[in-house]
Amino acid sequence: MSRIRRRLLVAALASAAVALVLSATTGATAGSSFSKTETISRTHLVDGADQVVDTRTFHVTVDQTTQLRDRQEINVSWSGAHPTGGLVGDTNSQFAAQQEYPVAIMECRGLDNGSLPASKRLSPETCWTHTAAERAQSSLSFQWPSYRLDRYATPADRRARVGVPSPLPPACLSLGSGVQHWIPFKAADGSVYAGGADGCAGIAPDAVTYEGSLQPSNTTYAQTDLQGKGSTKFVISTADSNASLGCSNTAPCSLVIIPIMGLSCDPDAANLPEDDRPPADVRDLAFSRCAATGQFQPGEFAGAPNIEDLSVSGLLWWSESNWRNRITVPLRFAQSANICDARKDSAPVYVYGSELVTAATLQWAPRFCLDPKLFKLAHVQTGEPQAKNLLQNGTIEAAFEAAPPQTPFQRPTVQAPTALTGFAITFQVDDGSGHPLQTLRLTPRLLAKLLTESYAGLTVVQSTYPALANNPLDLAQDPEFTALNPGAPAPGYNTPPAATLYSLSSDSDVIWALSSYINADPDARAWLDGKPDPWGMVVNPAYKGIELPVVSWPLLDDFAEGWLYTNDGNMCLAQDPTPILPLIAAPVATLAQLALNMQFGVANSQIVCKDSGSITQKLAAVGRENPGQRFILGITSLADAERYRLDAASLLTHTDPGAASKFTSAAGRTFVPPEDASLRAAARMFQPVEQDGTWVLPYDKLRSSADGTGAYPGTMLVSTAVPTQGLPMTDAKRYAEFLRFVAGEGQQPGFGNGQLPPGYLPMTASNGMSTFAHYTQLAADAVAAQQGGTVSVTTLNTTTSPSNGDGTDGSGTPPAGTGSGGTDTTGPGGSGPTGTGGSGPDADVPAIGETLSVGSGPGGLAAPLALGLAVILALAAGGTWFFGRPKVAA
Amino acid sequence: MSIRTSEREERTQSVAPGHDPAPIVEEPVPSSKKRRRHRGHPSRGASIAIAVLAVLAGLAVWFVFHSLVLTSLQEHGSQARLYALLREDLANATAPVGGTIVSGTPIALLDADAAGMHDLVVVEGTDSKDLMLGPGHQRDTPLPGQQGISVIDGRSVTYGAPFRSLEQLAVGDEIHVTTSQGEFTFRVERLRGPGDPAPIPSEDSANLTLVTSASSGWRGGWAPDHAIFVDASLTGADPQPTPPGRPTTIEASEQPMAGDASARILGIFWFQQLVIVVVAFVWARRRWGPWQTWIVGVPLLIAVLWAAASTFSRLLPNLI
Repeated sequence: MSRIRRRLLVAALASAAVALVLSATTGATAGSSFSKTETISRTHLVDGADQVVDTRTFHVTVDQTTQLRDRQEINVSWSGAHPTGGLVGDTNSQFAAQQEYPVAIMECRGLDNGSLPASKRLSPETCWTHTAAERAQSSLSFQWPSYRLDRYATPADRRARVGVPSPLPPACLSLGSGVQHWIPFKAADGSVYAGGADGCAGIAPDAVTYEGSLQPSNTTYAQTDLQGKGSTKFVISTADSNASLGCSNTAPCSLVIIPIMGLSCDPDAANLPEDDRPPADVRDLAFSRCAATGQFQPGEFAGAPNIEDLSVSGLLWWSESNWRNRITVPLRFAQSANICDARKDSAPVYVYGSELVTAATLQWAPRFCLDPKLFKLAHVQTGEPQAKNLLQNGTIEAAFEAAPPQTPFQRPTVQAPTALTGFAITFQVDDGSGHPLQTLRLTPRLLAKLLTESYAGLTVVQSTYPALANNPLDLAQDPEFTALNPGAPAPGYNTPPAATLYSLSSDSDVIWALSSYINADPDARAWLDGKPDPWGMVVNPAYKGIELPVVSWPLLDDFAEGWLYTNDGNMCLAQDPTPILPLIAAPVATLAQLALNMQFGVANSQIVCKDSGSITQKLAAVGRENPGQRFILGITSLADAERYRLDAASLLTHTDPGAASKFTSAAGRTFVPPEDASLRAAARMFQPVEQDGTWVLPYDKLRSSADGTGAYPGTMLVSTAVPTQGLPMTDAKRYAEFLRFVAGEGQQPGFGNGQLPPGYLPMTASNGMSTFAHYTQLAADAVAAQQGGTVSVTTLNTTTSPSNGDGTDGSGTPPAGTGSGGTDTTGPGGSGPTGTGGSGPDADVPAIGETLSVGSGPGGLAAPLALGLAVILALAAGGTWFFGRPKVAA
Repeated sequence: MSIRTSEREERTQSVAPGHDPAPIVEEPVPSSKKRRRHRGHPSRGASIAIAVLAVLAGLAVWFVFHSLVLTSLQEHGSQARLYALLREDLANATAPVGGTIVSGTPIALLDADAAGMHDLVVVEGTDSKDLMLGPGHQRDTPLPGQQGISVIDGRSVTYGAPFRSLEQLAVGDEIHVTTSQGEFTFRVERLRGPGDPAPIPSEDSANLTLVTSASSGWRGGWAPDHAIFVDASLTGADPQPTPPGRPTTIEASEQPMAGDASARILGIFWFQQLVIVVVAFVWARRRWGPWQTWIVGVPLLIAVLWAAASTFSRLLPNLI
C-alpha cells in the first residue's frame, strides 16, 4: 500500500474509533434502569447449627439511575420481599422505620466496592437518615437487645456501647447508662456527627432530632404487599438540597435498598468475650426477642405505636444481618447548571421570563457555557407579563413569553417558538381506603368554582356566610366532582385545602391560559355570570361577572366575621381580622414553589394559628397532609409534573350535544390528560394571528371541532421575543445562535446537556410543528441582521422595515444611518448596515469583518470651505469697494 | 478694508462732540492730484454690501481661527481641570467603572508615547460636545481594561487634536490606560482604515479601539475625511469584570463622525445674540463713544463669537 493510502487508512480508522466512542458515551445517557436479583434469608445460629427461618428471592428494579437531578423522583419496584406489617401512612416519616419487614431505601455517599479507599466506600455511616432515632438505639432496662445477638455483626459491634464518643457529651448524660448503639454520620465535608438517641451528641445540619419540618427526608421505608411485591417513589437529593450528604458527580452516591428480613440471631456468642455473651439465665429471653417474627399481621396497620418487634423492624437496617442483604445501585447525576456559575466567563446573555421553560434551560445552559466558542446563557425567571414589560421599555434584550403582549412591542420584534409545553392541574388525592387516586377529571366549571372561592371550606364559614350557605363545603362534596370521579373521598370528608386550587399570586401567562380555557366554556362562563349550576351551586358574589381572561387571579372575597374571628375560634384572626377565603386560597409566587408543595403534599392554606395565645402567634400553613388522607390540587408546569412524578388531572375538551347537564357520570364528555398524543393534537390546533405576531390556541375550537377533542387544553407555546433592531451586534448574534439551537438541536429529547427534558413536546416535523421550527430559524436570521425585520406568522415572509428614522440633516452632518456603521467590533449601536461577512451560524469560525468607510461628509471640509468662503467674500468686498465707487472726474 | 475706511470717515466726522456729523460728501479733489482719475467713495448701497460681505468674510476667518487655534486653548483648559478631578478620583478609587456614567465625567488616563499622547484625560461620552473636552469613551462599550472591546474616540484637528498622531502607532507599541480598576497596558495589534479587514476578537479578552479621523493629500491636517481605527489588546493582566448597568445603545450623535444636530437650535440662538451684540455695538458707537464701545464691546463680541463658533463646530463631525 502506498504511503498516502496507508495514512488515509489510519486516519479513517482513527476517526471511526473516535466516532464509536462518542456515540457510545452519548447513547448511554438515556434513562438507564437497573435490575438485580438476590437471595435473602434469615438463619439463626443455635448451638453451632444453622436454623433457617426464611429464604426468599428478592428482585428489584430502579427505573432511572443516570442523569439524575435534584429532587427528581425515581421509581423503585420489587418482588419477593417479606410482606410488611404495622403499616403507617407516610413511608418517609420517622415512624415508618418502626414498621415490621419494610424495604428500607436510602441514599448513601460512596460506592460499594471493597477495593476503594475507605473515604470512597459506602457504609451505614455515610447513609442518610433524617432523624436521630433512625441511627441510634438505646436499651436502658434490658442488657441484651436483639442487635447484640446479630450473628453476622462483628465482635466490636456486639459490645454494650458502640459508637458512643468518650468522654460522653454533657447533653447525653441524661440518657443514663445502659446499652447504646449509635451509628455516626460522616458528612461530605469530613465532619463526623455521633448522633445519639436524641441527637444529643450532635447531628448533621440537614438532619432533625424529631420530624416537624415541612420537607421530609428521602429515606423511605416502603411497604410490601401480601404477594411480596411493592413499589415506591424515591426522591433523589444532590448537594443542592442536602449538603451534609453532598451527592454530586464528584462525590458519587449510591441508592441502597435493604429488604428487611429480621436479624439472624446468635445467642451463644461462642467466639465473643465473656462480657458480650448473654448469661445463661437471660439467654433464652434474649434469643426469643431476637428471633421474634413480628407483632402485626402482614398488611395490618399500626395501631398503638412502639409495640413492634425491634428485631424485624426497619430501625435495625444497619445491623449486619440486614445490611448484608443490601442491593446497591450506583447513581449518576446530571451536570448541575451551577457549573455555569463557576465559569469565569464574560457577561452572560440574559433571557428573562417564563418558568415553564426552566427545566429546558437548565439542560440547555451547560451546553452553551461549556463550549468555549459559545457564550453563557442565563435564564432569569420572572413572570411572563413582567418580562414582556421589561422588553417593551428596553431594559432587557430577550424574553420568554407564553402569550402575545397586551400592547404590541414598539420595536420590531420576533416571537420565535421555543418549546411546546403547558400547565397541569396536579393533585394528591387519596380515596376512601387511603390509596392515592391516579386519575382525576375536571371541568372548567369546577376549576372556576375552586378559583372563585365559592366553596366555604370551613363549616363555621358556611354557616355564617349566606352567599355560600347553599354551596357544597368543598370540592369533595360537590356532586359535579363526585359524578366525574367516583373513587374520590366520600362526602363527610372535609379539609379547607379541598376547597381551593393552589395557584399563582403573581402575573403569569399560565393564569392567562387557564382563565382563557375557563372563559371559553359556555357552562363555566354562564356560571361565573351568576347562573347556578344544575345542582344549585352559585358563584361567590365577589367574583360574579368577572372579566376573563386575566394575567393575575384576584382574591376578591372579604368575608371576615363569625365565630372564627373570636378568641374561641382562631386567635390570630381575632386579633388581626383578615378575610378567611383568601387565606385558604393562599397562592404562592412561583411555579417552582407550587411544584415543591405538590411534590410533598404541603397544603399552603394559611389558617393555622401557631403559638396561639402568645405574643408570637401568627398564621401558618396547614402543612403536610397525611398520606392516606390527602386532598390537594395545584397548578404546576408540565415539566415539573414529569420531573417530580406528579399526577395531572384530565381536563374537559368536548361535551356531546346530547349529554345531560345534571350528569351522574363522565359519559358523553371527553377528558384529556397531558401526554404526548394530546399535546401533539393541541399543537396542531394553534393558529397564527398576524397582529399578535405569534400563534394562539383557540379554546372554543377545542370544544367544537373534532380535532380539538383529543387536544390537551393546558398546552402552551413558549416563545422567545427578541427585538430585531437596536441590539448590540454581539448580543444579537448570540440570541440568533440560541434561536437556531432551539429550532434544531435543542429539541432532542433526553437528559443530557443541550437536550429537551420530559414535559416538552419536541418541535419537530413528526409532531406537526415544522412551521414553528422554520419560523424560529427565520427569526434567528432577522435577529442576527438587526435590520428591523419581522417574520410574518401566516406567510413566513421576512419584511425589513426601512431605516431607523434617526437621520440627521442639514448643516453638513451626515445622516447617521449611512455613514456611521463602523464595524461590529466597535459596536456602535445597531443602526445602519454593518456588512460583516462570515458571521453566519458557525460560531466556531471567528468572523472577519471589513472596516467600513466612515466618512465625514461635507462637514469634514468645514475649515477649507470657511477659509475659501472668507477669501471669496473678501474679494467680493474688495471688488465692491473698488468697483462700487462712482467715478469722479478729476 | 472698506469698513475701516468708512469708520475712519465717520470718526473724523464726529471728533467734535456736539456737532451733528456731517453727511458724507465728496471731498474736493486736491489740486495736486487733479490730473489722476480716481474713484470716489462707494455709494451707500455699495457700502452696505461691502460691509455685509466683509462681516461674513470676517466671520469665516474667525471660524477658521477659532477652530484651529482657540479650541486648543479651550481643550487645554478643560484637560487641566479634568486632570485635577480625575487625579483625586483615582486616588480615592471613586472614578466610575460601571453603571450609568454622566457624560463628561473623567474616567481614565491615556498615555501612548509613540503617538505623542501624554496624560490625556478620557471622558465618558463621544458626542461632539464631549470630545471638546478631550478623548471620549463610547458609552455602550465596556471601560478600558474590562472584558470586551472598549472604544475611545478622539479629535484629530481641532480642540487640541489629541489623536492627531494616531497613525504613527505601529504594531507592538504600548498604550497605557489608568482607570479606577488599575493600570492597563495594551499592545497595538493593527491600524485599519476603510476596507481593511477587521477580525473580531473573542469576548473573553479586553481590547481597546482608538478612533479618530484622518486624510491625506491637500486635506491632510485640517480637513479629514474618513475614520481610522487602532486596535489594541490587553497584555500582562487579566481583564476586569464588567459591572452591569451599561447602556446598550447610544445616541446617533455619539457615533463616530456624527454631528450633533441638536446644536442647531443653540446655533440659531447664538447667531441671534451675535446680531444683537453687533447692532448694539454699532448703536453704542454713535451714542456712547467709540472708545467706550470698543472697551466694553470687544470682549462681549469675542465671547459671543466664540460661543457661536463652538456651537457651529458641534454640528460638524465629532472626530474632526
